[in-house]
Amino acid sequence: MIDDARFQTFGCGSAIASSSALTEIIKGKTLDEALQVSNQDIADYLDGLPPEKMHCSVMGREALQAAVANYRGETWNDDHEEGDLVCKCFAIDAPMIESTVRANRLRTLEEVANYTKAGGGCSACHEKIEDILIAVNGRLYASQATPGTARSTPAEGSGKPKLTNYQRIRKIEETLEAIRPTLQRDHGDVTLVGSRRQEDLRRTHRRLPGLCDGGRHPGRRPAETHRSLGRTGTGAAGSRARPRVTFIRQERP
Amino acid sequence: MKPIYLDNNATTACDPAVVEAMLPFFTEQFGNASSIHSFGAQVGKAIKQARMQVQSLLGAAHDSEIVFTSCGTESDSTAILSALKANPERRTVITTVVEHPAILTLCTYLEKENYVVHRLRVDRRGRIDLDEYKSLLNERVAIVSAMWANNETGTLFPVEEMAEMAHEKGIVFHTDAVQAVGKVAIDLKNSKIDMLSLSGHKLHAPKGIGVLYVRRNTRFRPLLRGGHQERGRRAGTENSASIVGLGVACELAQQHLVDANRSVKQLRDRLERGILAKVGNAFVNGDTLYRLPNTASIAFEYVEGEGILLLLNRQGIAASSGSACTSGSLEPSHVMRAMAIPYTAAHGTIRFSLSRYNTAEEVDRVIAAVPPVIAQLRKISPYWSGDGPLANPAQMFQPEYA
Repeated sequence: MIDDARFQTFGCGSAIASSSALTEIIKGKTLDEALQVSNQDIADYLDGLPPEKMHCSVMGREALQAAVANYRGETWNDDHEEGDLVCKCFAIDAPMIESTVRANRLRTLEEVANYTKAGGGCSACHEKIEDILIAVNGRLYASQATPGTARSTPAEGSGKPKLTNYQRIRKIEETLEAIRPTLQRDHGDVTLVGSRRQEDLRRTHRRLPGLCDGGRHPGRRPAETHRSLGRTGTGAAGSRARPRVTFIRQERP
Repeated sequence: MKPIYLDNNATTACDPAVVEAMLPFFTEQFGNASSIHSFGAQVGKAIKQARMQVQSLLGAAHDSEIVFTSCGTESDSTAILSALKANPERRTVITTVVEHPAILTLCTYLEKENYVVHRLRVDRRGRIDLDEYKSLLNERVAIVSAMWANNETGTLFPVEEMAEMAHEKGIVFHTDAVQAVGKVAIDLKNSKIDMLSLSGHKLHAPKGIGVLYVRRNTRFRPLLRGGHQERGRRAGTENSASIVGLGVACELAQQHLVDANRSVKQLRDRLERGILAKVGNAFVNGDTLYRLPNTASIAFEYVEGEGILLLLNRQGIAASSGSACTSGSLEPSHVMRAMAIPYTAAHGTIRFSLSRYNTAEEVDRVIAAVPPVIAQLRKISPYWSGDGPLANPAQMFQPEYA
């Protein structure tokens, strides 16, 4: 069990605060319990950190990992690369976006937002995200022409038959599965409650304000979820072929 | 406890005379300067007077060479983009590594658009190699842009000499003089400088007003097109109140110029000597012989700048830093890196920048406040042990820098 914990830091106010907070949190915990402390826990202890300073909490946690490894005689590798902050709304840096783009063969702004959340807020960082996409892919791809990931269906002709209820619900569930990891990373989740017609969807949106906290627990806004559901559809046939989904309830911790 | 403001290179307080001169132009003479009616009748005259006041401070030959803009950044962008537009067969820009982001970010963007940018390096004191500069001057260069004074260290560049060299090769020379105007003597008519940027809020004028000096007969293409304001060189309804304020500020700056280089310089030297006498492992960054009279950039080794600033702020002392935590990225300022200052010192650099409003008493209070702040941070620093730096820091702590 940890009796006492001290820190040293060559860092800013947030780094000092994060280190100090961490030493307070882990006193009285076992080593394994201490390793469960996440950087979000540190930020919460401080009543939140600005996006530019979130990496200070990450550094604190890494220092703890290194200390425990050192105590146990293990080696600890720091593979956490950090770089320029691109998305201020959600505190996402350039190397994170680039590695996600490469790993998932992303091509558009929208895909980047779906996978990392970057660019899904105020949109001021879109030029920087596009620069990263161009650097990785050699060019910028238009949103419509995305072969995209394994999950999306290929574009189909306009004479597509209408989906049965069962097929529609399956499609919706598949799409929700694709975005669920992003929500869960922020301690949230999504449940399909029901499905209604397209026209009712717009009215529903207005009755569901503030699903996104926008601050410490940024999540996807209803409009984004709707867009992603709308696009993962049956291609060029237009709105009639898109799955009509409403009542996406975003669960909060 | 009265707060002490030592961050004048970031921005300055408006002189009360400036504010007083501006007030009538908000609710009395608020008319558009282009209007004929009585609400605008005085505005045109006031703007002309302000133009002459700016001309006088800069030593420009004609008041028509003064173009009012919204800020130093706009003046910088206008100058460089104009030179490129006006000389389309030339696609190279020469600048330096220590310029303000207003220049450097624009140049990075220009490289994306397939322009060529040469950035002159500096030595450990932040000085340029004039031979390297000369070797880059050729007929492909559209413009040279070199700052008159560095905002972080105060180091002065030999811009008049550089302008002469550019002129000999028929190349346009621009200087970002935002930090220099009002602090050092400027005499443009007797120089070969073609364009110069100035920012009001660095010389006790309001924020949101700047000037681009454009020497007569310089090929020019405007950035903002629209109405015919500023003789067609910068469209947009004139910010008459701020223009008037800037004019007054320039006149005051000219009156206080000798003072700036005497009493303010003395206070700066007193502050610097006082701090260095009391704090070990600290040194001044930049060219101490050839720099602005009001700026002291001091590196405190083994501690981090934001921590220093926050602790000083608790005592009512305002300064700034070039450390990573205070910038957008995780790297210390590009100026520190360009001078090859080690990270252990670059992150701990504090910039104290004085104005004519600072007093000896304030300086003495700061000299007393700094040493305990540094000591407190060194106690928790992994590089420090007891009374001095760790004997073998390389063995104890090896952070990875992205």
